[in-house]
Amino acid sequence: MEWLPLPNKTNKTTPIVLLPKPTSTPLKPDTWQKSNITKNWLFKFGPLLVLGLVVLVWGLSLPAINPRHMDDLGLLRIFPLSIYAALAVLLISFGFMVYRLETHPSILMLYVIVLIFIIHGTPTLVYGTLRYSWAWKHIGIIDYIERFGTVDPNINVLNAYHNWPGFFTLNAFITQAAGLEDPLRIAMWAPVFFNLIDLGALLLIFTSFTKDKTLIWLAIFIYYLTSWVGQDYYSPQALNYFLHLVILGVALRWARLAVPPSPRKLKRWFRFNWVAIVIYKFLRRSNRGQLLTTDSPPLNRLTIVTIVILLGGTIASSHQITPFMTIMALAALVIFQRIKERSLPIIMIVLTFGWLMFGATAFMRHEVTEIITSFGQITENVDSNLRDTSEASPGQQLVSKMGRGLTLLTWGLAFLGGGRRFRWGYWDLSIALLAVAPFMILAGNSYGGEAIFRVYLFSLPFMAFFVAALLRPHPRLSASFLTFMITILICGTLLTGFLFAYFGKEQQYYFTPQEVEAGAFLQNIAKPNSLLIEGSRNYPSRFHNYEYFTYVAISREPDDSLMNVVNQPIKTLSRWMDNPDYTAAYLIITRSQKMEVDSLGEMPLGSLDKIEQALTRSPQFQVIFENQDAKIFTLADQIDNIKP
Amino acid sequence: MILAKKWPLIIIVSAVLVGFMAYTNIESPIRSILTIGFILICPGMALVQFMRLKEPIIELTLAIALSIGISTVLSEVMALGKIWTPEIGLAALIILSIGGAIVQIVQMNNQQTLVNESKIHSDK
Repeated sequence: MEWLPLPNKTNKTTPIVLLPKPTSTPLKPDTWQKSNITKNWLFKFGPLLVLGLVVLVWGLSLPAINPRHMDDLGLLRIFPLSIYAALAVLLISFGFMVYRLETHPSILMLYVIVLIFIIHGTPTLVYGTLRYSWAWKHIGIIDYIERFGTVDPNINVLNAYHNWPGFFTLNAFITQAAGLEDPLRIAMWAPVFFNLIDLGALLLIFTSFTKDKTLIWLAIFIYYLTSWVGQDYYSPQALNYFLHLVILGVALRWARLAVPPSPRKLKRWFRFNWVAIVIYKFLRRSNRGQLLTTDSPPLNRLTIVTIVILLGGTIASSHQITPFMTIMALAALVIFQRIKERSLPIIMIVLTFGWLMFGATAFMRHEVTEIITSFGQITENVDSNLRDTSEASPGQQLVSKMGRGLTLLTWGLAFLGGGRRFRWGYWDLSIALLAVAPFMILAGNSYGGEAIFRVYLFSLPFMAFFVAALLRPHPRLSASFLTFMITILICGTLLTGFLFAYFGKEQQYYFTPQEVEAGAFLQNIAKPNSLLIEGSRNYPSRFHNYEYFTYVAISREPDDSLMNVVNQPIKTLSRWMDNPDYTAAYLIITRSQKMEVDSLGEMPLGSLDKIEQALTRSPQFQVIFENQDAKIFTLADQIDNIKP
Repeated sequence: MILAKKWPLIIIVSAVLVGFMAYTNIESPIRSILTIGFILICPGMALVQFMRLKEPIIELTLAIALSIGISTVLSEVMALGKIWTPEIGLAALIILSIGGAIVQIVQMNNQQTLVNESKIHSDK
């Protein structure tokens, strides 16, 4: 293992020269973990026994969870205490194991895998249906590709997906090649899958920064305790996030610049010599503590460029925002002389703008004005990302505050961690750049009110590294009992915030089998060119024949129109549905729609219930489908328009 | 390292199995799991093996990323080119994977021969 020299706190005058770090420096055993007890077999097999116990308790707890009993705190109140106990044992045990020098990395990896399964596998196993309304819409795009064998960039509904179709064509291909009727099973397990493969990408990145096993696995564990924004579901974002991390990992591991350019070379770029010298000294200094070699052999330039072209091309054709994140990250690394392969950001720019000009022309024609208008309006773009929660239920207000609190806490701890590493002599310039680069996206576009969450997501691996560095700034720093206790305290606090932020909205994200049945019924009986009126968009919809219909969500109507529906549902809705432009019109109201509008305060409390009751009583409307969680109406005089 | 030597064999066996089940149209959960696993790992692994990485997790991660990249580009070409034929797409991945694995086996054999020859020379 080779390192650049690193001063300790007392020796800050260490000369800045490239020297191999003494490899024979023994790492001090942690004083509070006596070496004699490690000989005990319990310490060898203990971690696996604890993991087995955690998995057993978790598995036995699952049947006790009834998602129908969720309230506006989502899964939090219906989780049995045993699940919290299992998570606590997992956390404490991990905290203990991660500081033990004898712990094999595979044990730590097993801990992280169990954490992933508990967090992301629980909803899948408990619900039995696909969560998130957007995941259902993604199924609809795949359904379209399976039926037509192509995409339609000019389509009216969800046209962005047809202009960036990579994720959908891939999944349509996998579904048909695997002989599946639909990708529902794949979609249900997607959060577990994406988090598992992200683990490999995080390892690729973190092992490029340090060889300290404790720091690496602590950072990975903290990453999963803070990744609350829910972008790991069956979506283009989840897939492209993984590819983005792999590109950064490849660049950091195999294309890094160990020695900065000489002052003579830098002088070509700067007018004043002293600027070049200052920059040279800065770059030279920022290389201290940087890991020079990894276990893997070097890759040649052609291999690195080929990987980036393949993965970058996939990203550019699959997602709108990720390519820009990759460009900014790679550009930051090149500008600050972190990587030697200066062509990488240029390749990404060519691929991204090439796709915008030739692949997504239909979308860009319509949206270019909006994109140009919002460019540079940082304040407006940030504001549009923060939902006004004043109308939300008390539970949802708490969930929202916990999400924001967790975000600020993570960033705050990361700042302190970066500071502590700096005091120990590490400049960690690459990590700092990658943590900050995603914030640049706020200058570009609000991305439908989601940009701030994407910023958090893309900066998170590097923020998590700094949070871990707060606890473990240096490999030769032995872990005291106090360090262990602080680790448990910080991880416990992060986990608490995470549970609120991640599971607190599950009441809206969960769909009962009855709601799925209603959604499928509507899509099968409605004739092409029908008008589908929805209480809100939060229900299983648009997953089959989605392009046949026009969708109107009552909760998305302007205030005047919305209040007309609430106050005079019969008159307003019969007028909407009696529109001769459409073959037929249907209205669907479901349990999850009510949960969403009531808990987020999108409509006056109980509005959808009142509308449903009024329509049920009215002779102008006919109920064509009904179960305990959903009702579908049509106009009584349109009853013949139902497709047999 | 043991797994690294076995990857070419795993790729060839799974490619043959996936191809057989797909083209005889066997409907089974095993087919689905095997095919998904094949598409997500094997095409990339057939290429990653040439990098001779020593870290299995990193190797697997790169293999998955490359497999996703290859399969996405392939499926996009089929969809945008209006030549949507998943069977042919799967066949292309099978050929790529088996081809990569065979080259890998040949390279390993050549290396083994060189090692044996150098041993004989050093013994002499």
